[in-house]
Parts: sequence; C-alpha cells; structure tokens
Amino acid sequence: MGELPGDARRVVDELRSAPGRPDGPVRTWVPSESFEGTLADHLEPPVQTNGHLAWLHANWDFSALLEPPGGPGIRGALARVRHRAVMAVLGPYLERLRDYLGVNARAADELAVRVDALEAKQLRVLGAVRHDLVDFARHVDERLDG
Amino acid sequence: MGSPPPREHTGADREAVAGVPVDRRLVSGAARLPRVAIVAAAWSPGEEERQAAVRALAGALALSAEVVVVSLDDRSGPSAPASRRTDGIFTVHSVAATPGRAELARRIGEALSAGGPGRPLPELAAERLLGIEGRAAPGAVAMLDALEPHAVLLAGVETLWLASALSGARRRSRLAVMPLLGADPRLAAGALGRLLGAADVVLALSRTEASLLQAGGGAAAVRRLALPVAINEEAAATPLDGMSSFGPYLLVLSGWPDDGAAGGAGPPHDYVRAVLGDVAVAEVRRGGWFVSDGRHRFEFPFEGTRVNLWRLMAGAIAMLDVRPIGPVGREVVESLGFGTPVVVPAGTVAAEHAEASGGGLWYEGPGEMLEAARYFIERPSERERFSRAGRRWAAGEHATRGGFAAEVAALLLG
Repeated sequence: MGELPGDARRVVDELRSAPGRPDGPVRTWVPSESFEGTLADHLEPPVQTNGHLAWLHANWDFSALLEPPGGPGIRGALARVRHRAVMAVLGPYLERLRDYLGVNARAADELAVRVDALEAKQLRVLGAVRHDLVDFARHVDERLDG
Repeated sequence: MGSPPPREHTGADREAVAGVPVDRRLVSGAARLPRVAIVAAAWSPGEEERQAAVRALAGALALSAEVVVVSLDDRSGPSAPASRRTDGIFTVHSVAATPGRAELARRIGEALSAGGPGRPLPELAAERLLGIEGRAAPGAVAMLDALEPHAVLLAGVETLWLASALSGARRRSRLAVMPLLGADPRLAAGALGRLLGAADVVLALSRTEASLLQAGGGAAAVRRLALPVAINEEAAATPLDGMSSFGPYLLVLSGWPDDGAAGGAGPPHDYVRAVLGDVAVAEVRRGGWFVSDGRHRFEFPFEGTRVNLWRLMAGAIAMLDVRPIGPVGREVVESLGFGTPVVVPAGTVAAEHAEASGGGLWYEGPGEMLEAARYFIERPSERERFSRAGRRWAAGEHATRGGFAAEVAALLLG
C-alpha cells in the first residue's frame, strides 16, 4: 500500500522547515497559559454589586426605628413617656451609631469603586501585554524563517 | 542468576515467624502453582495508567501463577501490622510505607533538566530523586520473606529500593523489575542501573524505556513488553449526544483520568480555536468536558467514563494529547486503534507510538502542535492515510492478549 512507517517523521520535518504563515500559529513560542487562567479568574461580578454592600445601603439608616410609638389612650401615652426617657439617655449614642454606619457604607462604596477600577485596569494591561507578546513572537518567527 | 524451583507453602509457622498474616487458602498445600509477589506503590482499579499496567500484567500472570500483591499504601503508621484484602483473584497485602513524593521529584527533575526535556540528569541528582520518590516500607521485606514467592516483581519506581534489600544473602526468589518510568531521563542514570543490576530481568513497556535502560547499563536483561490495549469499536458507531450539531472537531486531551486534583488546564481552548479557525474543539479536562465552535459551547452532562472518551476519540479529526505522557501511552494507542491520528509531545512514549505506527505527528512546542493539527484539518486524504496506518499498527502491536500472557509468564517464572 506504499505507507512507510517513516512517513510521520517526514511530515514532522516538513512542518518544521516550512516558513511560518503570517496568519499561522507561532511555532517557536507562545505567551504563557497563565494569561488565560488569570483572565478567566477575573471574570467575576464587580464588588459594587456585592449583596452585603447592597444590604448595608438599604439598612444603614435606622431612623424610622427611633420614632416615638403611636397608640391611643393611657397605654400609648405611657409608651411615649418611656420612649422619651430611653431616648434622653440613648438618643445621642444611636444617632452617632447611625452616622457611623452611613460613613461606613460610603467608605465601602469608595473601596468597591476603586477595586473594580483596578481590576478593569489590570485586565486591560494584561490583554495589552499578551497582545504585544503574540506580536513579538510572530516577529521572532518571521525573522527565524528568514 | 538462576531461579529456584517452586516451593511448597506449608503454613502457620511462617506466619508466626514473620509476624504478618498469610492467606491460609494459599499456604494450605492446595496451591501448587508457583507464587509470584507483585510489589506496587498502590493497588486500585482506577484509570491511572501505571496502576492499570500493573493490573494488566498481574491478570496475565494469573493464568500460570498464583499472584499475591504487596501494596505499599498503608498510611496507618510504620508500626501498624499489614492488612489483607481480596480483590477478585488477587490477595492484596497492604503494608505501612512512607508517602512517596512523586510530584516533588518530577518538579525537581524538570528544573534540573537544563538541557531540555529528556536530557540526562546529573548522577547525584538522579540518585537523590530516586530516593525522594521511593516508599520505604520495612514491613514489605518481612512480608516477602513470609510469602516465599517463586518470583518477585517490583512495579514502579517507588518500589525499586527493594531491589537492593532483596539482593545478596536474602535472595531466594527470581527478581523482576518494571520501573514504569516511560521516557524519564533517570532511566539512563547509573544509580538506577546499580539498583537494576540485582534483577534477573527488567521489563520495559516501550522501546524508548528499553533503550534508556540499556543506555544506563547495569540492567542485565531488558525485555520490552507491548501491553495489550483493548478498545470497544462499537463506541465509534455511537457518538456522544450533542456532538452531531458541532461538525468536525479536534479532541484535546488535557485532564484524563480526572483524579480530582487541581489544575489540569491544557492549552488555552480559545487559543486553539483562534489559531485554527473554523473547527470545533472538544476538550477532556479535569472537572468537566466541553465542546465549543466559537458560537456554541456545550458542557457534556455525561459521566467521564472511558467509553465516552472512546466515543469522542472515534469521531475526532485528530487527538491532541497535551498531558504528561506515561509509560504506556494508553490513550494514544486507543486513539490509533480507532483510526484517529494523534498529535503528541516529542520525546515521549506517545511520540514513539506516533512514529512507529505512522499514525500521528509530534511537537516540541504549542505552535508545532497547532501546525500538526492544521495538517490533519486541511489534508483529509493524508489524514485518512495516517488513520489507516495507525489502526493497522494498533491492531498488530497492542491487541494480542494470549501471546502477552505467555511472554509474561516466561519472563517472570524463568
């Protein structure tokens, strides 16, 4: 049938000696696989959409919980007196706590925006470096192939 | 070295002396077949190539001998007594052993191969690496003494330290060694040669392994065994559901068998597609198989069994094997058996198969791999020629079971 075992070696030798195609693969070197891994690892939702952060935004202001209780009659009046007494002591502390939570939410926001921006920037840089490396490898190939 | 005649096994006195349990069915006098003890780092029915090779050899040997396995896999502590279990026709004695550090040895070996993969290692480094990978198990020597086998087969680099422990005055059995190192440069090291010098016969599973062993010297008789590799050709007639909507595809084998370990990423799947253009790529990797043609991506919901792997293999334009290749190159032989050309790393047992069969190409780097794949995509008639050559070679070289059993028996029993 004319199929000699040496055929495979001939083909490998031919492929190795053939000049590189402009659109062909880089034969001598390719960028590290870690690029793909790194890029894939970064495909995560932005920190700004984090569920805990969203909850903090929805709940940091607990002013509504500090309103005096309603209710008619003596029982309602007693509840309001009790509320006034408690708030006389704890009011300033609770107000401070609410402000603290608000500032905390804003600080977490700032950090999330900064982290997301850094991540996007890192991805852009990685993509650019990878692109340059592929170009460089192709250039080396062309030079090697004469 | 001459081999003694088969001994009759008489009983419990040996058990008392050695302090290890001995299978009473085998020492009762009913067993008259010569006994062969196979020492291996592990014994399990998994897909791991080295273990599968040892099991195949044990199965062949069981036709003419009583096969007892001594597995260096007990982690309950060095002073723990050996445990015994039955696995089909085999009795398996698990003895306590230090854990092997194969991964560390592999990484150091790669780092030291400054001349490139497959280049010889410095002598001292090779010796130390053999030590790192070995699984010291003092109980194994006592166990072998108690079993009084006609022949001992040391399977795997983890067991080779026993070659010197069993030599000299203690030597009562025929000793065979099967390093299972494939194209590992340590095979050519003098340190290994000295260990193998004590063996009556050294078994290699490929020409590459045999020639490296001979280059190292020391090994008296190196014999190559072509391991039978069975495939179910029906798999070719039943492609995996969903594949028909993808058209011609390349198969990339990057994580098989799936041992649950981390990593396993092969060449970037998208990169393969970006370079080769309009062809689908199916990838068998750890943690899941998938196929993609750029427009669609399909995660296989099927179990990652060997039969499903065969189905993928049988329908592919070519199989690109990007894993570290073992001593057998089993999946490469299977692919050739299905008539699917292979593209495999150069300098490995798989490359030996590709060249000997005329059924595949080999590569030094990722670029060459992709050009070889492109060769099969763009030249259907050449692909067909490679396919026929590979199929014929696999059927002739790796499909014979009867001859293999007789050959193994002759080598082990003398």
